[in-house]
Amino acid sequence: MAQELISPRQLTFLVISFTIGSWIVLPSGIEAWQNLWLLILFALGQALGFVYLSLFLFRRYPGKTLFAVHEFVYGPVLGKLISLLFLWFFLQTGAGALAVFVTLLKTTVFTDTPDLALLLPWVIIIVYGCRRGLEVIARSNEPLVLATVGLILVSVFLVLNAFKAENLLPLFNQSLATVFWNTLGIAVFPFGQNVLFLMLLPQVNRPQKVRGAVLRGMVVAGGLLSLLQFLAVGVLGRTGELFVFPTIEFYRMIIIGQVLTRLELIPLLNFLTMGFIKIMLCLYTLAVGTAQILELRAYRPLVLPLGILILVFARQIYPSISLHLHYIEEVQPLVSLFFCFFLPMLTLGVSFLRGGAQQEMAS
Amino acid sequence: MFTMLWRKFRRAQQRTTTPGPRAGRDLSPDLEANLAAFKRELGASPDLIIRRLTLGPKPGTTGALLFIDGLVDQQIVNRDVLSPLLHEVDWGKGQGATDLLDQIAQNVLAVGEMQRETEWRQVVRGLLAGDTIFLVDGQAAALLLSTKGWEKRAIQEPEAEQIIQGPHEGFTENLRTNTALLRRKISTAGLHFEEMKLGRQTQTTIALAYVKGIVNEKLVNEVRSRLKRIKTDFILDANYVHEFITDAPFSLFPTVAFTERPDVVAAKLLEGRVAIFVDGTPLVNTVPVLLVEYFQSPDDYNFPYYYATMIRWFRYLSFFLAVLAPGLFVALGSYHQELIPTPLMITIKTATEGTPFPLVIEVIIMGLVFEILREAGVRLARPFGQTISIVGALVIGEAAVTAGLVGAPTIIVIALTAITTFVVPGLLGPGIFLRLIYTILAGVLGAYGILTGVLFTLLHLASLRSFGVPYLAPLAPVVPADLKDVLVRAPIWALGTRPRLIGWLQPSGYAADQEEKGGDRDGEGTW
Repeated sequence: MAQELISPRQLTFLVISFTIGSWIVLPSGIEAWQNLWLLILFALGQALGFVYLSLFLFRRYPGKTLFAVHEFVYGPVLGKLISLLFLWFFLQTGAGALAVFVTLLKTTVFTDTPDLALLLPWVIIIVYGCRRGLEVIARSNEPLVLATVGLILVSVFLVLNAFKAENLLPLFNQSLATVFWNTLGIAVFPFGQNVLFLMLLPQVNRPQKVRGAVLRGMVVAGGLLSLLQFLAVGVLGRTGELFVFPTIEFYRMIIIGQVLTRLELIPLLNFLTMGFIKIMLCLYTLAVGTAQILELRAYRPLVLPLGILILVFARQIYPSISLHLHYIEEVQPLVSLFFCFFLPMLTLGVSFLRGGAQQEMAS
Repeated sequence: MFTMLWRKFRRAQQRTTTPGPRAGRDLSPDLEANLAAFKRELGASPDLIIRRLTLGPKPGTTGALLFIDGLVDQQIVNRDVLSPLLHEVDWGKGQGATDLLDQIAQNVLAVGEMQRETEWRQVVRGLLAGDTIFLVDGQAAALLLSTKGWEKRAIQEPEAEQIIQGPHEGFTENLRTNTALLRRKISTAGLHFEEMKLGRQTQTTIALAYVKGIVNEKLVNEVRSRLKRIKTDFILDANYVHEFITDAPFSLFPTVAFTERPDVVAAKLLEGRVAIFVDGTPLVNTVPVLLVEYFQSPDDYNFPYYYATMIRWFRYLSFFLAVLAPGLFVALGSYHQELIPTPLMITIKTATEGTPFPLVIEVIIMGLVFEILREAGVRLARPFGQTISIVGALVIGEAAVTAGLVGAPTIIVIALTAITTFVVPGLLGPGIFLRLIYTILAGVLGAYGILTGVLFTLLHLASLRSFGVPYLAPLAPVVPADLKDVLVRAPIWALGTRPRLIGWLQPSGYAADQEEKGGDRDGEGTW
């Protein structure tokens, strides 16, 4: 199978859309709403640290996916078990994003449409995209990211008349514990999920630029999210924390002349495309990872069944949005921390303890 | 599944050929036997002219001239072939010649291009391509004298690609005229042509053109090998070649570009592309093609850069409207009324009040009616044109609204799409098709349906390649340097570098010795 290659720039773009992904419509850490835009920046710093450390794995084993590293470090049996855990994580991330977007559509626009009618077309094109491969995903992602970044930057001008600086106050009105917990939550939920890219890094054509590409993508994504939250707080004020999807509410507030009103559909569709890329990356990694664990030569036959699996999971493990919100607040930070920080660090530690990685690789 | 279909399709292609003239037979030394064979092969066609003559130092040697009436220039045959043979022959000259035929070729015939052939099939091919055949009794060989000359159209402005300023000449049906037009544009020794004959029955001449030193040799080899793989009976137009060599035979989007303009072909060759001329058609294929090329017009480079940039954006907007306007109208009208400002919404609702069909059916039917009108307008003889416009505009448009069958906004939307469709003529087919699909999707799932369709199209476009070059470049993958001729039309002096993924062999648009930089080959092999 010819290796599909992407360029560092495409990797940066993928990191941006994967990070923005579903968080942009369903922010975690709502209880720190007023300070959220600052917390994002704190969390970004924290996450940059996590990811920087995780990337040592790739430096130590260049050209190997995370799963291959697992097998190398823990041996075939234990390594495969840990990889299986990661598969679960990717599946759950993809299903979560899918559930978020379907809920979003159901609550804002298509109130009477059955879930399946919204899920099925989505899953079909995601399966189609995954079968086309990473190159195609990366390429189609580029214009979508440009459109989203453009939209977020344009919205700065659109909200000028609705933005009130006093809405930003009070700042720093939360206890340190809340701040820490939510910072951690944000650090692992949109940013930490980038651990998924450890599966895709060997497919970047210039490995020496990988680290810069990933970190740059995260910084851009963090900056955009923070900017958007900043604007949202300034426009919505304290009421923002009442909404499930504050970003969409924020765009609803935009009124310019008699023409540009109720614009929320446009950002909604735009952010849907980010989620689209995110789910597609999850499914792709899931399929490639499964193929690696089972030592198959091609991942393509797995895409359709796994796509159906994601669809079923999206309906089964997130049956309602309130359950989902509860999960995001209480459980997700811990689960994500386990996968995004603890496991990679453990692998790195064990590999250092075993030592001599390079020599063994060479032989 | 597509690979299976494709294989089947290939097999079907191979079956469309019939055995050609018998191969491997040589001419006979006996003149009469040869002439009889010609008559047998070509039947009693009256346009085959056989002129017998006696000649040579030895009295009594006979020879014959054969040509097809209408394919040769009679004047050349009479003045430069027949007349020297019959009159001013000094048989003492030409000592170096090995035989009589050679002697005649060297000393007598005043024709620039000639060729000695012994194989029967080659001789017949030459005869049918417009050569005059010269045979001498006692020799199993023939001279093919290039005396081609037939009626051809004058060089005119192509009707489908008119521009306001700039050169107004277009290609014609004659291959030699076309290659000459191109030579007039590119006066470098690097401009190479390669010719081959395709089509068992038509024996159409295909010429490959490229500029050596700029073009990527691998691309030329790929084009050549794809052309060689074509097995068919007839090639009548550039599209016959296109459908055989295209990368994605089932895609809506063409991966080979057409043009009738020498200036466009010259510009594309100088960017590192390959052009494929087909004899008998003014259309020239160029490969590889990017999607953005369809939005470029020669006029862009003949107007000031700011105006050209604006016009180009109008073109993007037009294509966007042409594809999406009916879909968006249906989606807004039936699902997302809140997006429309209230006064406008009231106007629309009043206008569509009481129409019997749902919006989506209305739009699809009116779109269909428009397409039929357009098709009729193209096919009809010109005197009927007025009837079409009266029936189209008055009866169907006006009357349908007055009778309350269709809302007036629908007519406006369809009219808008009708106009905008023609702004990007290269994407007419995909545009119409996608419009229908998006309209149906909008009727089913509103804006979400359109988004699904657009994302699917995007994925498909991102997966397309035209001769190895990603179709969406330089937008996906983003090639920042090449956006200068996509997002804007930068001033000509700023357009110095060739498109990265096509002309990376010699990235600078100026002479190679002026600025010899390797360029970091980012794109190479990684798209």
